[in-house]
Amino acid sequence: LLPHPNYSSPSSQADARLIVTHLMERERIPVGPSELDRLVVAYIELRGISEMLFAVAEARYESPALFFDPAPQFDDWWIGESDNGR
Amino acid sequence: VLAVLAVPQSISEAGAQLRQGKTSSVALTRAFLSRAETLDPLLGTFVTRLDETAMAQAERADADFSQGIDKGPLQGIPLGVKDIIADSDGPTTAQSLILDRLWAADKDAPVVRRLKRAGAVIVGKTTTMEFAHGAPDGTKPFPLPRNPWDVSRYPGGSSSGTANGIAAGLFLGGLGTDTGGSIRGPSALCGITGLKPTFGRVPKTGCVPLGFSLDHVGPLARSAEDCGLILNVIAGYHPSDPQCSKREWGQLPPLSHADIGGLRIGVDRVHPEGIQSGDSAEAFGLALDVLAALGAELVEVELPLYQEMVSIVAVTRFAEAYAYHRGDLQSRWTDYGATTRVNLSRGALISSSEYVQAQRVRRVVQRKLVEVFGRVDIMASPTTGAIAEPYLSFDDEFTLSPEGGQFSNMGYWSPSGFPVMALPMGLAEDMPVSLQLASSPFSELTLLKAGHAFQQATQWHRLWPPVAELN
Repeated sequence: LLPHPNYSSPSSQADARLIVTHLMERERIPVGPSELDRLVVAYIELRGISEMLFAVAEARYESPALFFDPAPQFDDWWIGESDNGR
Repeated sequence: VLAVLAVPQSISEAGAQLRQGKTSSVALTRAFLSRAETLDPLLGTFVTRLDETAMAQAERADADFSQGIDKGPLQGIPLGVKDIIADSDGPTTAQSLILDRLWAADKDAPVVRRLKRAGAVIVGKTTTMEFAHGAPDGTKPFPLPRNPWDVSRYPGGSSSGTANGIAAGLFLGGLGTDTGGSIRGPSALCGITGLKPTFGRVPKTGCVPLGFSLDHVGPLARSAEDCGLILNVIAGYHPSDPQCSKREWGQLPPLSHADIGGLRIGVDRVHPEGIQSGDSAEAFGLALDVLAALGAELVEVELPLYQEMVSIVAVTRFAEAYAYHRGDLQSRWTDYGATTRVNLSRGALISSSEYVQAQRVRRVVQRKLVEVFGRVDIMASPTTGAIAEPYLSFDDEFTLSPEGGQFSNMGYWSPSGFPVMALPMGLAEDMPVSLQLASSPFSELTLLKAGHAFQQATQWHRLWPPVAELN
C-alpha cells in the first residue's frame, strides 16, 4: 500500500524505530533486532494506512461497524443441547 | 487431466452411488484413506488423520442406509476439517505449539456437530498456517502443505490442507475459514471451489479466532453444487456465537437447471492495479465470455474506496488477533513461528482510535456497496492475480502490501461480510486460475446458481492435478 498523499512520514526511520522499540517494551513483547526491523517497516506502512482512513470524508459522521448486544445469550458452543437454533 | 479415478469426483456423484447401492460408505472411506496413505506424505494435507473414527462413522452411515434412514446428501461422505475447528475425535492444534490442547479437547464445534448429525465422515484435521495467520514454517513440527498441481509450490493459505486434499482426491469436501481470503485463496491456487458465506451465516464458535469481526467458516469442494450441499448443513443460527445471524437459511433448492439469463454481473477493470495483466487476465476474459453467453449482462463498475477497504482488513485483523495473542506473545515468543509472531505483533502498532476509524470506514464502504448491488447482482473478478508461488521464492515476510496480486482481490470483500465464491476458470502455466464472484448479504444462492451454471458450461472444476493419478 502506498501512503496517502497527505501523509507525512515520521521525520526519520530512526524516529519510527524509537517509537516501535518503545511500544514493544511497553507491551513486553521480546522482539529480536531483525524482527524489530520488520516491525519498523510495518509501523511506517500502518501510519500511511491510518492517514488514508482518517482522510475518508464520508466517515466524518459515520458510526463504527461495531456490535454490542446489551442482553446477550451465553450458551456454550460445545453443549449439543444448546444447538437449538435450527 | 480429465482422468477417471477410482473414487467419485463429487459429493452428489458419491451420494448417488451410495443410494443406488453401487458402493458403501465403508468402501468409499477406505478408498479415500488409501489415497491419503500415498498422497498425504507428498502433499502435507493432514495434521491429524482420523482413520479409526472415520471408519466408525462410515459404518454408522451404512447401518443407517440399510435401515432406510437417510440424513441427507452428506451421509457417508468423507470430508476434511481445517485444524482450527474443534472436533472431539482428535486434537485441535491450529498448527501451533501455542494452542492449549485442552481448549477444545473432546468437543465438537457447532459446524462439526452439524456435519456429524448429517452423517458425514470426517477423515482428518487439515493443515493450515499457524493460527491461520502465519506462513509455511519448516522449523515447527507440522506438515508443510504443498500444491497438488506442482508440489514445489504453495497451495495457498490458510485453509491449505482442506483445499489440497480436495484437489488431489483425498476427500470430497470440507471446512475452511476465511478472514482475509483463507477459503478463497487456497481454493483458487489448488483449482477447486470455495465459498465464504455471509458473515454470521455460519456459527464460528469452536473455531480458533483470528479476527473476531472478520472470521467466516465455510465450505470447500470441487463444485459450487457441492459447496451448497455442505453450506446447507452448517448454515443457521447458533446461540453460542454472538455474531451469528438469526436470518432463516431455509433449504437449498436443486441447482441442476440454474438459469442466469438476465443476471447483472459487474466488472471492475481498474482495481486492483495490474488486473489487466496478471496471470489470470486471459482466463478472466474468457470466463466473462462464458457468463455473457449464458445470458448474463456485463456491467462496468468501479468499486468504491478500494485501497481503503483492503487496508481495513489489515488494521482490523492485526488489532483483533493481537488482543487474543498478547499474553502468549509476551511469555512464549519462541514457541510461535518466526513469521507468525512478527505478524501478530503488528497489532501493538495500531491505536484504538485507528481501529475504530477502520470500523467507521468499513461502514461507509458497506453503504456504498449496497448502492453497487442495486445496479448489479454479482461482482466478478479474478480471485488472485498470480498463480501459486514456488516455495523457493516464497517471501516469509507476509507483508501488509497486497501488490503481489495474490490477496488483493479477496481482501476487498473480507470486511464487507458479503458472500464470495472462488471457482476454477482455467489454467495458466499449467496452474489453476480462479474466478471470484461476490454478491450482496445473504445472497449465497445467487452465487451458487451462477457458479453452477458456469461449471455446467465449462470443465475446469473437473480437472484433476497429475499427482491425483498416483494412487
